[in-house]
Amino acid sequence: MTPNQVGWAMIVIGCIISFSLRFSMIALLDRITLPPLLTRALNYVPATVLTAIFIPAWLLKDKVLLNYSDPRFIAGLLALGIAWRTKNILATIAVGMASLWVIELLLN
Amino acid sequence: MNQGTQTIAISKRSEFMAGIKISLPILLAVVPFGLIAGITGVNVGLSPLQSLAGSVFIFAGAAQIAAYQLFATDAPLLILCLVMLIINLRHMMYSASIGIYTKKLSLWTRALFAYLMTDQSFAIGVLRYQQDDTSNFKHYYYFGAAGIIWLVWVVSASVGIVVGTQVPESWSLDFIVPLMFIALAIPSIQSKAKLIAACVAGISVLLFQPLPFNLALIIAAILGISVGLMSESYFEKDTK
Repeated sequence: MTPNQVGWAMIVIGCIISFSLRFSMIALLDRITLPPLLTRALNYVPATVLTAIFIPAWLLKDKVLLNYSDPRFIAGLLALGIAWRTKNILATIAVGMASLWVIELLLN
Repeated sequence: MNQGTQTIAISKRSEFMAGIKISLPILLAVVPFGLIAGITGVNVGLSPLQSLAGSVFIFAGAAQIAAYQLFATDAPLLILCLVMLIINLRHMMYSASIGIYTKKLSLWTRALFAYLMTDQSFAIGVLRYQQDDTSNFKHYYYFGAAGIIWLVWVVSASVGIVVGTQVPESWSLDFIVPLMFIALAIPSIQSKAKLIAACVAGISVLLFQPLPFNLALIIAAILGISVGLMSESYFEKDTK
């Protein structure tokens, strides 16, 4: 497959997957009850999967761990702190980007 | 209509407008997500049309961006789909949670309801359904919120697609992607068990990084969920 074909396949299948998941229980709830263990397990999906995405996106550069003095490491730590305190998406991104710019400016 | 501090919205129109109004502050956060989704799409080599189609039809920023990034590394299609499936599994929980309120709607209305569901519109919709008043048009409130979020999302993604490739690299704007996932992940850690699960997942994903096809993500999620479930029963025993 060419990258163009993979791109379209990803979008079409992605559309089917995301709609099916959203529609699943809204469409079927009166007929299906999920096993309790599965319901409990699904509960952990956002925290685990999103963490498993942001950790390498933040800490790895070209598959190598960042140095602790890297501006991206420090800015990410600040963003983590803001996210923890405020639970605010905009504040987290704003503080993270602003601190990265300031640290890079100071180092140059 | 306004009785003291409680405004009871009684018509389809007023429910719809109230849903839009409550969503206005949330749009501030929708704009950067839409921009990032559009920018990431064209940056990883999707055509502008593909990137726009992704934002309209997949309509799930986190899943799109994760899949786009894997697309850039030539990961197999199966892995792209698995990742979108895993990241969007939460929508199935939302569907189960809000589905108890939508049983009386027609199948087509429920389909539109489902298509428009995001983290934000789900949260807003549930809050409205849980209010005590007997309005028959609470779904219009949801559609107001979900509709304005959809509109702003698609417009932002389009803007991102147009300006995306012209952003200078020295601005380090790619850093918005991990920041966005930090902003999404942290609020989902609402208990000790979830914190432990997230830590296990975060450490595991680094340890399993050498594995191909981003299998590290899937293994990390399974390990995190398992440890989370086990520590949940531990904490329950502890408090009872």
